[in-house]
Formats: sequence, structure tokens, C-alpha cells
Amino acid sequence: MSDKVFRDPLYNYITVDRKRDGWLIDLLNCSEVQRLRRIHQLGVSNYTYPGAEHTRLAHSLGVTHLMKLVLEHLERVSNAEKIKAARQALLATALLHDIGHGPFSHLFEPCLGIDHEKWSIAVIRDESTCVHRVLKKESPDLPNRVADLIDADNTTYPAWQRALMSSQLDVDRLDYLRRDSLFTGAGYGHFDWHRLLTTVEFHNGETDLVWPSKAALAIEEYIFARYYMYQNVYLHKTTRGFEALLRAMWQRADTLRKSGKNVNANPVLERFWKVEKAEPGTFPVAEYLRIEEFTVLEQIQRWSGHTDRALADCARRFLERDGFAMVEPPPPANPLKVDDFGDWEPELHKILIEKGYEPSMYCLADRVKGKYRQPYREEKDPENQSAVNTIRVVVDGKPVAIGQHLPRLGAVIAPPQDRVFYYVPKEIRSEAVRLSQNIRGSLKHAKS
Amino acid sequence: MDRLQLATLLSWAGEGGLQGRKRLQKVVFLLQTAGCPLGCRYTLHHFGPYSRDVAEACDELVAAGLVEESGGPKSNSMTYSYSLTPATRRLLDAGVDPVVQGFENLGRELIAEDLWQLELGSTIQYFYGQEEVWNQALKRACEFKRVDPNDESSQRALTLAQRVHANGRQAGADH
Repeated sequence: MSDKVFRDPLYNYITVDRKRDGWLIDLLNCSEVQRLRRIHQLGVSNYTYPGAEHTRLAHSLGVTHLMKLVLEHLERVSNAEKIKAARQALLATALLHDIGHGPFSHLFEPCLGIDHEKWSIAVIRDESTCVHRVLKKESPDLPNRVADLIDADNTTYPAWQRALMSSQLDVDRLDYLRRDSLFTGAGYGHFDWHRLLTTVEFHNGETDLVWPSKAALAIEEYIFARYYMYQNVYLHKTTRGFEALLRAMWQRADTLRKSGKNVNANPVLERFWKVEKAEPGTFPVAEYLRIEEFTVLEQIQRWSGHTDRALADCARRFLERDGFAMVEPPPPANPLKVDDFGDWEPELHKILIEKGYEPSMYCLADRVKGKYRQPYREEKDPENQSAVNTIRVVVDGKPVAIGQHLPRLGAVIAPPQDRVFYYVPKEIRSEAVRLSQNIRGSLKHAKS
Repeated sequence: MDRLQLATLLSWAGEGGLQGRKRLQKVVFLLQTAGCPLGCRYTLHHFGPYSRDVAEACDELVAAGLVEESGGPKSNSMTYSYSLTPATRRLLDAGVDPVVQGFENLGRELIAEDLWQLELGSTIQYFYGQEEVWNQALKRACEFKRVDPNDESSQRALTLAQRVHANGRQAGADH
């Protein structure tokens, strides 16, 4: 029986052994997995990088491929039986880890209050789904086992299994960094992924994972790759602006709806909204999976003709890629209150109102949490370190956190503070910048 | 947990500062149990409940120069210590977080508590969150920590967990 072969731009060939892993092909053919073809990996980053059209399906396949490679390596260098016993669940987890994502991946989550991890778990546990049936056919406890491995709070399985899938250096990140780099064309995000996969080893009675010190430079390269990708792609101001616009639009529709106005919602969204708090358990999995990117785009197109002027205008802006301009607010006067910008917002609102813009829709604050600008975070306390929270290399027989082993990483991995950026219509930008500068000036004056 | 909330909590530790990241982790966990809305997500780790949010909030305050960190492996010490800088104390004079401040008495008590009691007590509380039966939670926590549930020390930790939990129920009822 021949292998099932996929062409992939990152790995060239991804092969699945039909004899050993035929069930993986069945899983891949499930409608819930095929749905991932219709979810952009990077949300609306294609508004900034036209090539960023890759999907969650290609990523999930890539993650499965990397999981297979790392398990083959671990099988060679450690207790092979232990690895074999965990193999099926880990391959399934790799393929299904994003199964609960909604339209446009992470960015749409706040619009509908979605937690994709909860939905992934729900899709796998739901007896009516194809993926549940395929897993259950393999082994009755496999659906629960895979769901437990996806659940970040679940510690039923050994740390090394969770760490391979979700940690500071896992197969998910190894795939998406390089894939996102390739498809955006950003040119960053390169590192010696093969060395990372083929040097990882067990530590502490084979429960924890570490790297030999010879892998330190590959780890450093990986951390820098993340740093560059965050700076250039994931937090790009144009992308963030469209994300803020999308959120504002959905919030507006929600407000209108709650005040009894007709928002012309398409049927599946109407049903979703009718539930007080739609989440697994209160909203059917099959219905949730019907909310797709084309559902959202069709809804936005409906809104572009809505009688609410702001909603219609923002919908048009989104569809025509007519975004807002980003403005940096002045620094907060009190460093303990990073959200308090004093007079900035009220003054900015005055400018907007004078120009006929409604601040709630045309003054969009975008908070970027410090941790999203930090390429790697490690636990300082050696006693509390594990493969899940810290990348460690073995030096003189002891695991040492990479940040401690390579102090030069300090500048890149120091925790940055949360930042807030504002998005306003382009015609307001210069006035907003002047306002920010004036407040900065008066703050400096007050300090001196 | 935002900067002001953590700075308010650290102000209760006084000039000597709060001793140990593990202590900080458990104090925040138990304060949350008692109803203090710090919003940190916890999972079960080596020594009981552990939160990346707490570790990150603390490291961010240190990186911003608002909290002084001492100790740690570089100083040949296993324990880090965290204290507010004089400038941060002055900022707090202008106003602490009023909601967190409402938990000052319990917070001071927890900060001064024996570390083992905090570890085991918070682990019991963690399992109680899953089991809702104290004996079962004690049994699981003691299995996890590899100690005898009938030890005096384990019983004291159970009392601590129950007391903090009752505080939380009271806080919930007050709201």
C-alpha cells in the first residue's frame, strides 16, 4: 500500500503511511477538518501582506508532520515503547489542535466571544462529529485523551506530551513561524527547525524535555525569528487597524440588536446571538461549525447597506480596505495606570465630533498586551521551571533556562509593557498626532 | 492582574518585600479564592497551582523599574524577593487599587504564612475547585504532594483552605 503524499511548500513532501496511520487520512477527510481550508491562518493579515492566504488546514497538516518527526526522533533516543504508546494521541492532537477555530482565526474571537480551545475540545468530545467517530473507532478513550491534551489546564498526561504540543517551543510554533514567514513574504522567521526537532531529549526521569547545549544557537535563532515576526507581521499596524475595525463593527451591531433594532443578521448568526452566552453546552457544535468566513463576509456586505450610517460606513471600509490611521497616545502620567491617558481621549473625541464622527466607531483603542510583544517568556525560578514554561539547555548535567545561559537574549526577552494604540479616520490623523505631542510636552514640563 | 493591583498587594509586604515567587503565586491564588478579582488563570504545576499571568505581571513590574528584584540564582540564593521602589511607594500614596485593598488583612496574613502551608493549602483549594468535597480534595492534594493527610501540618493546611474559601463565599454573598 503506497503512502499518501501531500506537497507542502515548507517540507516539500508530507507523507502518511496508509498501513500504519490510515486513520489519520480518515480524520483528515472529516468535514470538521476540511472546514479548516476555509479559515485564514493569519486572519486579515492578507490586507497587509497579499500573499498571506494560507489556511489552518495546511498549518495543521504541517504540525502533524513535525509531530511525527519529533516522535520518530524520541523513539530512537529513548524508551521506544513509551513513545509508541503516546504516538496516536499526539498525532491526532497535532491535526486537531485548531479544529475549533472560528472565522479569521484568533481575530474574530472577541467579536462573538469565542474561545477556540473550548470549541476544539467540544468538537472532539461531541459524539455526532466525524472526528469523534474516527477517533473512537481507533480506541474508545481516544477522543477524551485528545481533548485532554488540547486543554491547557488539564494535567492528566505527562508534561512532555503537553510540551510537544503547547509550550514555549512546540511543533505548533515551529510550523506557523516558518509558514507565516513564507506566505507573507516577510523574509523573517528562519531558524534551524530540524536541529531543534532532532536534538530534544528527556530529562528528570523521562517526564520533562530539554535540549543539549549544542542546540543553544538554534534556540536563539528561533527566539529572534519570533521577535522579528511579531514586530513585522503579527502586530503590523495596518492589520491591527482592520482587526479593530472588525471588532467595532460587531460591537455596534450587537448594541443595535440589543436595543431592539434589526441588524439584518444571517440565520446562523441570528441563532448564535439568540443564546444568552453561546458556548459549548449552550450552543450546538454543528451550528457553531456553520459560522464560516464567508458567513461573516456576507454579513458585512449586508451591513454595508444598513440604515445605521456608522455601521454601513465601517462595513464599506472593511470590504474596500479603506482603513483608519494609527496614532500613538501620550504616555500614561502614572506608570501604575497604563490605561490612564488623562485628557487625551476626551480631547480626541472633541476633534472627532467636530468633524462629524461618532467616537465609539471612529476612535478605536487597540490594546496590545506586553506578553504578545515578547517572543519568549521564561519562568525565573528554577524550581518552577518545566518544558511547558521554559526552554532549557543542559549545562554540566543540569538544565539551565536559555535566558540565563545566553544573557545576551535579555534585551529581546525582557517583558515589555502593555501598549495602547488608537485608530482614527485618516483625515483626523495629523490633528490627533499634534494633540498627542502637546500632551507629551505638558507632561515633560510638569515633571521638570 | 494589572500593575496597580500587584503593586497594592506588594505594599502589604513592607520594606523587606515579599519572599519568593512561589509565595507570590500561592498568595494570589488564595486571594482570588477569597473573592479578590485579580483575574489570573491557574494550572496545576510542580508545587501546586501556578499562573503564568502572575509570573508575567511580576516580571513586567521589575522590567519597568517599579519593583526591585533581589536574590535568585545569580546571588546564589534559591529565593527571589520583591519590594516596591521608593518611587512606586510614592505613586501608591496617590491611590492604591480600592478593591484589592479591601483584602489587605487576609493578604498580610497570607504573605506572613508558612510557605509549606501556602503550598499545600492552595493545592487543597485547587482540588476542592474540582471535587467540591473537602476530604477528597485533601486526599488528592496529599497524594500530589506525597504527604500524609492525617499529619497535623496537612490538617492545618486544610483549615487554611477552608477559611479562605469561606471568606470567598462571604465576599460573594456581600456582592
